[in-house]
Amino acid sequence: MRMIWLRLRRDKGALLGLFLVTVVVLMAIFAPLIAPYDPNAQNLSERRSLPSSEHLMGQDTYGRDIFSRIVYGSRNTLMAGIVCVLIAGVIGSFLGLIAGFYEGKLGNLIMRSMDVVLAYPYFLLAILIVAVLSPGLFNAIVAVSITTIPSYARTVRSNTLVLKNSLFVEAARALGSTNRWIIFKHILPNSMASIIVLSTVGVATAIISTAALSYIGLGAQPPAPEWGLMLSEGRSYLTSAPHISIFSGLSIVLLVLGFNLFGDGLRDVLDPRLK
Amino acid sequence: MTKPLLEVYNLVKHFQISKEAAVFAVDDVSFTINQGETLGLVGESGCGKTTIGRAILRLIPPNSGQVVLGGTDVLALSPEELIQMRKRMQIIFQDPFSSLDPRKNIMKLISEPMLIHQLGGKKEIAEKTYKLMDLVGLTADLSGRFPHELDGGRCQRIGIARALALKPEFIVCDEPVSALDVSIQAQILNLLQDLQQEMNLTYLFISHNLAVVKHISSRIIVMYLGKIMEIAEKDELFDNPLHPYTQALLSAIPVPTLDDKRERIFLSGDVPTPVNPPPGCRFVKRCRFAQAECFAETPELTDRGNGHFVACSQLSKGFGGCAQ
Amino acid sequence: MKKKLVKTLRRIGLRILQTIPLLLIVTILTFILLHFAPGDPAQLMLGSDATPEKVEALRDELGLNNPLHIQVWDFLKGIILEGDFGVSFQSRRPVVEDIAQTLPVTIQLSIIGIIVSTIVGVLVGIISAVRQYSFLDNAIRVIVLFAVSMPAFWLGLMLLLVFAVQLHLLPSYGWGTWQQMILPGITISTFPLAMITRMTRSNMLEVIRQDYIRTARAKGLSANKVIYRHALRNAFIPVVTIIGLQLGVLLTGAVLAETVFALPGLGRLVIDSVYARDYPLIRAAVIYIAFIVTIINLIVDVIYTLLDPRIELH
Repeated sequence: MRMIWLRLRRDKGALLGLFLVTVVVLMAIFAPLIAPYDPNAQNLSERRSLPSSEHLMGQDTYGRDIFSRIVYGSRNTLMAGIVCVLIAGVIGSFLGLIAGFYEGKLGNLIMRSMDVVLAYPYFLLAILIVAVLSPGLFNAIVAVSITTIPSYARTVRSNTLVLKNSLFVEAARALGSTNRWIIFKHILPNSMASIIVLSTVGVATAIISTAALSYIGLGAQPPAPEWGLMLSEGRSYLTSAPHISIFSGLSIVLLVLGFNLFGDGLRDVLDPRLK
Repeated sequence: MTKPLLEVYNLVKHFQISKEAAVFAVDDVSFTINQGETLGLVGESGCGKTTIGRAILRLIPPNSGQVVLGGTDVLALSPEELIQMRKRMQIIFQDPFSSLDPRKNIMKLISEPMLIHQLGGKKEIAEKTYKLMDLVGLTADLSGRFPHELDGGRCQRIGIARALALKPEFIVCDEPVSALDVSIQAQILNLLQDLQQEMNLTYLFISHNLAVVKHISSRIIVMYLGKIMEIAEKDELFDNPLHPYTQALLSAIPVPTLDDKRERIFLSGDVPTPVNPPPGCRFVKRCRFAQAECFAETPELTDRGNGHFVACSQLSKGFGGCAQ
Repeated sequence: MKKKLVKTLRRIGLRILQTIPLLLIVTILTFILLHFAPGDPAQLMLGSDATPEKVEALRDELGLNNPLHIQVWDFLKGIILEGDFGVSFQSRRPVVEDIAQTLPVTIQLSIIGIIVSTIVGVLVGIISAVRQYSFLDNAIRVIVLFAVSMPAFWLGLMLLLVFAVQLHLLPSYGWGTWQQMILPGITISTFPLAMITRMTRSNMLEVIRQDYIRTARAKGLSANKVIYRHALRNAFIPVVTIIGLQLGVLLTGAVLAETVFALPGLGRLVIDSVYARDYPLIRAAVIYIAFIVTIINLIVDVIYTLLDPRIELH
């Protein structure tokens, strides 16, 4: 595993990506220390003021400091991306392992269910789920997670199908291991490379999707400081106060760029064939 | 010493490759192995020797037959009982790299069998692992290494350590040195022999290399296309090979000296496929003594004295034109 | 050869058959999901000041008090026999009418997206592959990376800001004139374009690496021509599947572009319906779109099966 880090260090793109992500992560962790103002503190006499020395990114339509909202918003955005990938990753990988190892009717059932989920355009399915659960950031995360599960299931399943016929699995069987032992101690670890690659890109996609849901009003609700929501709040004042939308959108772009760069680098190291 | 540890009766394993065609990898094979002895199993690729090893251990389910290890019918065990049984019978694989999980280091690899069967706490198992490493000739500082960092010889030692961890009585050695450099082969063979003495092991040693088999076995079985052609004590087999196939095999062993040239017996005809074998002797298409009845009836193994068994209808008839 | 044709046709037929139960499940699932959505449809239709008796009467009329499986059955019957997807809460018209009104806009936008992203994407991908490691290739890869990281809604807003607001070059809303199609078109095409460029580039690289070695050994003169002809042919087959893969992305882009540019399309209709809890409309729109996407995927699969080089070898 140290070898992966050493090879990764040579990839400048990946390092840049890691840097961007780390900056945002630190921003999220130390938000109370970094943000100069309370993100929800309104100041109605200074609406939509442009960036100044007191307000690095200006103020939004309720006079709140945009910079502070961006800093606190990083928490929402990061959490959304990471939680989505965690939920989808755990559930999807588990389903893929079972479907690939046991095959048969159970495997078929699982993969057909994945087909049903994939039959819906993913954003539409997310909208549908939020419509059922009612708008909110948490529900948006659930919705995006559900749409991400099939890609994990499919990938892990195809890995499992190959791995379960390998010699070291037979060797483990000869030693008297149970199916559970083989699945979790041999097949899953050897699938981790694919899972990790899926996850770094998955975080990027999840961030965009949850921000998109927030943008159309189905995700985070006011007055939460969430980057997608801030974007839509700035939409109406694009002519007079574009800085509201610019900064929030730029933050999303940089964070997603970071994950994409790092993910690409990681993929090149873990599995160059996928290039 | 002469108590049979492993008894195999009428073992059959065929693979159905299509509706009409089946490969009879193991076709009605019977033999016994005594406690503490090494039974060598030789034959060409495709004669079924690898399948036999796996079928005996139930890594591949046999189609019919009986396998009795120390009085217990292996094929009749339930899955849970089978897992317990595995402690008594183990296997060493041909490919030293592929048989090891590439993501596990030596410590984890060798402790795995003990962890699976929960033979002690973490500390205990670690100690046992170091002892095993010492037993197979691996230095303790290697415990953190991974298979891809090591050469074939060391990886095979890991395989041996894993097979020994559960203190088995019987080990199937499936071409354990075929993939190794010649210089390392001797080391591993010697290791196997030393271990056999120390731990009173019984081996089924499978190989296509007659010289290796000669070195390590006490008795030898010669197989061809899923059937046994000849069984004999090692010296008896090499001094007095009776079956035409065995004779051809032995004539092909390279001789190191210049003047002692061996008369090479060449086998004519193509190697037949083991698919849907016709009746009659399996060797009939390449045998230089084949007669009409060889095509019609499958010869049984007949006792020629001294524990020497041969499956050849010409020999049984005592006709000339064979061996002698 | 005839055997192969029969086999292929059978494979295609099987594929089509598999799709039908899928569509059925999608329809039923959508209905059931929305059934559990908050809010009483009857109440929503009549408004908050309606009397409880009126609400109850409407519930009976709409069949909302029937057990779930009866409601599903009635719904399916309505669709298959009469094409009736229900009535919208907001507009009081059959939802099919509302959908029919907005669908053309979305379809036009999506087609623009497909055409632009495919043509430009494939071209740029080829250029990038052929001139690997050049400045152009590296610049393209950087731009692609940015394009993939940009949310469509932000891109749309920025385009709006620059071209419509600051420069007054293009209109900022509405649909009909070709000027109005430019900005939304760019917005919807960017992400798929980037993906197609990437995939084309990597496919081409694989092919080039193989052919280049072979032809370099043979006659170095016509190496380029052979590469272009052979590589292009190989690059086209994956493009067909790429289009299928990008459908989901295109639709997302359409929804977001319609929101940003205030286009009267199906995407925006869906979003408005979610706010208004207009469940019949959401239901119908989702089912329609899922149908369209599934059928297009099916067509793509069939085309891919037919294009499979194994079959072209007569």
